[in-house]
Amino acid sequence: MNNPLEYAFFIKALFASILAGISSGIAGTWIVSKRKVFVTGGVSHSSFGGIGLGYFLGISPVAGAILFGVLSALGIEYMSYKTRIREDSAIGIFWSLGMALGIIFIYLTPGYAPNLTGYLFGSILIVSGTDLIALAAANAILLFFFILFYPTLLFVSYDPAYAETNKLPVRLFNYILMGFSALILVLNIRIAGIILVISILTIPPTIVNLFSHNYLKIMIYSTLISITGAVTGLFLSYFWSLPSGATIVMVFIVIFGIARIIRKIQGSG
Amino acid sequence: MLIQLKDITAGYQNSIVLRNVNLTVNPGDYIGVIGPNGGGKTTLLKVILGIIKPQSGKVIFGDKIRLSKEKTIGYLPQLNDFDKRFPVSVTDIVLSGFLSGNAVLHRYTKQERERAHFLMKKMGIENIRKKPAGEISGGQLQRALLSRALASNPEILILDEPNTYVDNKFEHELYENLKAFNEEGKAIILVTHDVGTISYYIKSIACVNETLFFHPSNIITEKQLATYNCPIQIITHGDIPHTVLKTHTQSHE
Repeated sequence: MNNPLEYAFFIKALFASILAGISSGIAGTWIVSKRKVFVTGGVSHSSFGGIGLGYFLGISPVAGAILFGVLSALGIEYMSYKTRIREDSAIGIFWSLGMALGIIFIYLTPGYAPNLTGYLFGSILIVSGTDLIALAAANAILLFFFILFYPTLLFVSYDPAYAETNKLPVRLFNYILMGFSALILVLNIRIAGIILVISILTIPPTIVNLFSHNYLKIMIYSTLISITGAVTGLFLSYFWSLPSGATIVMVFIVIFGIARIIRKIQGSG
Repeated sequence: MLIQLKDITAGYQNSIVLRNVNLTVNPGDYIGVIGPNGGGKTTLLKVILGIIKPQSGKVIFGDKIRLSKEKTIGYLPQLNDFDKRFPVSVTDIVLSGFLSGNAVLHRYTKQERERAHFLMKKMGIENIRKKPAGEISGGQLQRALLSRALASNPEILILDEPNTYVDNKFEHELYENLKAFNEEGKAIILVTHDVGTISYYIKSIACVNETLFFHPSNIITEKQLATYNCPIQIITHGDIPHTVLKTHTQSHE
């Protein structure tokens, strides 16, 4: 088998893995700490509606996915703030709404049905330069936001009720964080696919959280673990001719398993 | 005067929880707020803290109280409001007491870190300052949250059922700490649950059951309570004369 590093598409895929790793450090740590994992599940599935809309209108499916993903993230937050609908019910509604719209749009699109496997299961090898720039930019903006507001951000996240009594803009922060997490999540769909993307963002912080309860440390170490896992998975998928997204997820699961065993041996798992 | 509530009526969407409530909080006050569950104790606190707007009436703040600029009201919420698994350390919790309103870009100063350290030492949680909230006991978390409430050296301290998850030893220490705070001329508003212990340190009692009855003493008789329509049991304890009361059956109407 040839050296994969000779291929431009593989180098791009390597960059994509690194950016996915950074995503799980920044957005993923917040998602896991705030118990928003299933919000992101709903967000990623609802973005399928945007992919369908993109095909239907003949515009970029990724742009459609971003629109649907970010709006449903904000919608889920809004519903659980402003109405009597609980968060998990709101997730269910947006999840199925997006999927249903996606199916209808693709059905209505004239001509051959587009190949959706890349969006459903990810295809890191066909990630475009634009995808990478968008993902890098979204990560950079969220990281900048974290650096700028770190103490406040920690406060409004760990005890929103109390932060509200201190007149901090808790909801605004929550909307911003949820919106950017959704954006980063959707941009990672190219890498792992709608169905598997939440594992890229949430397994690495969960692994680190077994060992540390320090928010900054979780951010840093989950970035490192995620980059390691994604790059390892990418190489394995190349040499074993396996689907890249699923292989990366399996590597994360294996690391998680090893981490659990280590924690057990240490005596408190 | 620190805070004055004037003819406050407040509640949620279709239900009124508080009706025509009047209360004045002065420096050096130590008010015990009692009343049945659902009687409006927490709503009263939320009105004072500005979390809910009254439907009618006025909340007037004295010169020393600024809601948005500095934290001049310290608040100890109920422990169950808190996500204990969030990765945040005891020090992080105490320091966040310095954050409020327009200070979203705030970075903790050296003085603030020193004050946080001082408070943790005083509360006996200095040795666990690096531990995450999820790995400490309820009593220790309570101390961390009390340190957070005191961090900005507030003029008023509001406590919502601080004795819920706490052992007797800490409860005693808590009341000693509150007493010292009160003796500096600061005001305390302490909510306790319906069958609770009211410290003899309390100087006055506000009984909240849709309306508010203010009793300017910490000794209250069953007969008085009956007149106040306050179906509650209070056990006062301490070295001074005290009264033990039972739940009375008189209906609210």
